[in-house]
Amino acid sequence: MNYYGNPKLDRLKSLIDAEVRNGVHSLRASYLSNKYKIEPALAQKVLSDLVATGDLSTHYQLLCSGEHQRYEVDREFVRRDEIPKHELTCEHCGDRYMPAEENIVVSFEPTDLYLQELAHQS
Amino acid sequence: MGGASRGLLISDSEDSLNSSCTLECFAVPLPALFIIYKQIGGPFVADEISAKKRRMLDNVPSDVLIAVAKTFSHHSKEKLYQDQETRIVEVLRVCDSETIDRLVAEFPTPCALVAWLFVAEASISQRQVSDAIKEEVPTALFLGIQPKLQEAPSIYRVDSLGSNTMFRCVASDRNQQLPIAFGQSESVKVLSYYDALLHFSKLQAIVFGPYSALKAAAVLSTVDGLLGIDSQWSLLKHGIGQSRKFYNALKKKMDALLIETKRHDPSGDYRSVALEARDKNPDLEGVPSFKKQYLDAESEFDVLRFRCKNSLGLMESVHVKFGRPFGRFAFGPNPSTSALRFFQSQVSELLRES
Repeated sequence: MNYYGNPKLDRLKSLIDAEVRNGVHSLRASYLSNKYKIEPALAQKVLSDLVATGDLSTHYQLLCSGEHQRYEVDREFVRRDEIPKHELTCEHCGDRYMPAEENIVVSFEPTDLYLQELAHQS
Repeated sequence: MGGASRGLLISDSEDSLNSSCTLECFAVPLPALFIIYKQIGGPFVADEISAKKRRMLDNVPSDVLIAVAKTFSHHSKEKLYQDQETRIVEVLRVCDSETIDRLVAEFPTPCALVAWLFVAEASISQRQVSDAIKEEVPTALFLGIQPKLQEAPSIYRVDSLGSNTMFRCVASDRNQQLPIAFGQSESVKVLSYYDALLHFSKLQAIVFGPYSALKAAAVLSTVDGLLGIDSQWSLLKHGIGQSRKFYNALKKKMDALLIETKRHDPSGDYRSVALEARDKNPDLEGVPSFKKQYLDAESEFDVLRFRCKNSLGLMESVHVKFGRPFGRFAFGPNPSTSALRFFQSQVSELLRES
């Protein structure tokens, strides 16, 4: 996506480029937000835009939030609408938990196309 | 730092941390009484087994017993460093009754691990709650009853602890897969035991035991139902996208150390990295490689260590683990009621400020 004309978004895009060049394969909005002191919503927006343009792909992870509090990733999905809405049993620890907004984590991973573009630029 | 504890504790005084407590009698299975009799001595008569002794035996950590007893003259070091039963007998011998009451009130449950913090949105006074306890709680509940086991929590005992009141609940609300034969398992309905703490100036609650917010709310709903009040409980938790802000603010406010964490590794393929502080660097945030690689990464959970003084005048070091779901805190190793209330006040202030 061309953010030309919006310095804030352009800067964030260039920061993401730099992160990927430095070997980051799994971006999260919170990471960008913590590292660069930007609003989580803004980071989320730019990452989502990059998904729309095919630069990044989404990766949804369900964290088990059962009673043993292992905080392990139980299941992984490519699309959000694939995530079940009913109570689940963790495949690792057997705890039961509900997939809720709080324990669905989305990571953004660079596509081959994006990596090629970055390689050409450098 | 997982697992569940039992009961529900109500405090109805702002300075109840310093108040003494009066324990009522309660139902104890005979085999348990026999064990207590054997351990702490005395005649084998149920009525003569003090509830205080029982609670101390079950709940009070040995290091606390030793530290408290040492503040009194005529204590025997030799007895204090023997087994827990001998230690308790020695504590009861040397300490005054006010101190004994505080010990019991500070450690009302065997383990206060998973906890949910609530604040009442309704304007309910301390007097209203006290009156409701007097008028609505049947005498039998102070003795302990055989509850009806069902999906919703049932209160099986109410313990008065001076200005605090403990409500103990049980629910038949989960299934467990048990291996009953080779290659064969069966889903069995099992029980959960829950606890909570209500206190003033503004009515607040801590519910111990449930792993989900819905179950914690169900416990308070049961208590409200018993007391005939509508507290309109609101869970103390930060919003989505606010985790790091909350963590940073809480750490700073309590001057806490990050002693353990699990963080997403942005350079790996979806990996999480568990890290633990060492003696040399008790705060992970002070470790250069952590700062460089993981400080900004998203937390799956964090464990903070904070210190506070309890009503016995002892400094406590408490661990608190939190992550998802928001609002669930797991405490260790064995925090006092003072420490839990201190933590709740800090969280409450933080969320009010934000």
